Amino acid sequence: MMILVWFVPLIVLMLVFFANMMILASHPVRSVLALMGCFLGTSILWLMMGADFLAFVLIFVYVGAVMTMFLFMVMMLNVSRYDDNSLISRAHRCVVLLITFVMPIGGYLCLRFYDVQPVSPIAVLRSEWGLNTAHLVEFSKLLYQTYWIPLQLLAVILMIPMVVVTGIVRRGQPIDARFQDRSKQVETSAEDRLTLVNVKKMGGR
Amino acid sequence: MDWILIVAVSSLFVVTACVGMVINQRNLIVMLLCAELIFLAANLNFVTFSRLYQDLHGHVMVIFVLGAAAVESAIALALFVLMYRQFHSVDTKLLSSIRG
Repeated sequence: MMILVWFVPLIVLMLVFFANMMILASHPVRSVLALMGCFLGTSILWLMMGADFLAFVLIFVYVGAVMTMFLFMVMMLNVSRYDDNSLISRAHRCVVLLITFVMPIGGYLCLRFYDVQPVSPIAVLRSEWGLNTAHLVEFSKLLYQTYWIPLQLLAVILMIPMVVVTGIVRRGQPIDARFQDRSKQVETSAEDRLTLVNVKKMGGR
Repeated sequence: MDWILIVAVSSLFVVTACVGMVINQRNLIVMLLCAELIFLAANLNFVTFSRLYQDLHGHVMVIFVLGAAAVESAIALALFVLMYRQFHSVDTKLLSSIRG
């Protein structure tokens, strides 16, 4: 339990660091990598809260697929460093860091000072790291029985952009496929297809 | 560790994302990343309160929010590609030249 007590604030500090790094990075690739760090930290918190499935979905689907696509796009666009006249100055960075670190710590201490002590469900999470998968069964029932229509709608919603995005990106591009032009085929004559060449006249033996 | 810490982190995510949108208002990619961070904050709250109230409906909502976020990022990235093809940059200043 002692490890838990110190591990969670460390994860929280890591999240704060990555969130700040995301908005203050001088290159978009670094911003994307920092956001990946945020996702990883969040998935650790979710694992500790017993949301195993969602934590793995976040890592495998979101970090592994969506954020990789993000990274690929940013690298492909080759967006270089921001201009020098960017809005982020050194003073801005200090103020942002100060606000984003001091505000949550101050708020947390204030809540502690006024003795706002709610039930602490997360402290006894996972029943001392024991694997309890009963909630996964309940979650599956909920997802595939109660919410199966919204789930199917989500699948459709996920598929439509795939088509739309392909259309958007290919818009204005020449079509690679070859087509038959029937009028040209009908109008063609034997002279177009075959040319007889007198080899002797052209200097052949 | 209690849930206040987690809620503080998620509210911090929202604040950071809003600040990031303001200070990076020239760069569309970082603005999109800030939107992703807000989605993440919402998901974190969903899971936390789902755990707090012992109600798994919050977990289901996370699946839907993740789907919406993936769709949003896919379409936005496609639009960025179009914009880059047109202007060779993703600077928001260039968007003002679009006149329908």
